[in-house]
Amino acid sequence: MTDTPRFTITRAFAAPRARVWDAWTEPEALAQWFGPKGTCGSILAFDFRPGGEWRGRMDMPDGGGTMYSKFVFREIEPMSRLVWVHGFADAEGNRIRAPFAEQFPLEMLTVVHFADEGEGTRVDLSWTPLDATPEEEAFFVSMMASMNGGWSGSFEQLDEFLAGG
Amino acid sequence: MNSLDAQFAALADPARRAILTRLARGEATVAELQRPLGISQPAVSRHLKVLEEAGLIAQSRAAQARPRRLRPEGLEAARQWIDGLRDLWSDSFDRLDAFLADPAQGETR
Repeated sequence: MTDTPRFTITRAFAAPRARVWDAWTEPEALAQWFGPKGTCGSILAFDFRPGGEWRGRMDMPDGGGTMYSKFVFREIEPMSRLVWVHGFADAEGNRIRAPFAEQFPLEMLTVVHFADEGEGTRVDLSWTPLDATPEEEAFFVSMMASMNGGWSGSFEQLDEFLAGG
Repeated sequence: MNSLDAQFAALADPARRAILTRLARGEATVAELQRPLGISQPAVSRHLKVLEEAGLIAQSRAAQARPRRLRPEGLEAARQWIDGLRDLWSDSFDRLDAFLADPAQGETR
């Protein structure tokens, strides 16, 4: 457990914390920004309480297909912290593996932290595989690492990545 | 037609991935594909049918041996899908930035 890989991303947004929080916690707002570029997302269920489900549908551009997700909220600290279990689902909301790769972790823990930064808001997000095998963790690292423009294989970069910045 | 399901199912098999890897170097006939794989010709043909139905390969009708070739465009949807997952958060943060900057959104309550 000590070396579980963690993907992190941090961004400062030019909006007050209350507005950023609302954008993360109101389904009408989420539907407008959550998802990869070019996709058309909709929210099927949004039960905003610990144990509640956020289920979504995402249509890929150019008739590229449809995928479903199911997130389960674990912790909600208003204006400060959101934690949910993140994973794919079928159309009925049953948990499934990532359709393209059995090796992708079945579930990931998403932790989002909100803090004031000047006039704006800093959001720190981390993604940690949940109960994943070493193979699944390795797949996750190799896939997420490539988002920074290629995997150099240098241990320094790996250390930074695993340390989660 | 070329649904993602068909593509991912096609890609899930190691023999079919080996065929795609071979075709990435240039077109090849069934016999040429069969030799390094060490499986029967009917088995190769079955794999080729799956790959063709998924839109990942095509066959040239010009020559007697009808060599197969890769359809790189066939992989586009799969590539988009994987990129979408990898870039989920950086893309979403870009979109959230634009959403928050949009005066039409105003205060969300």
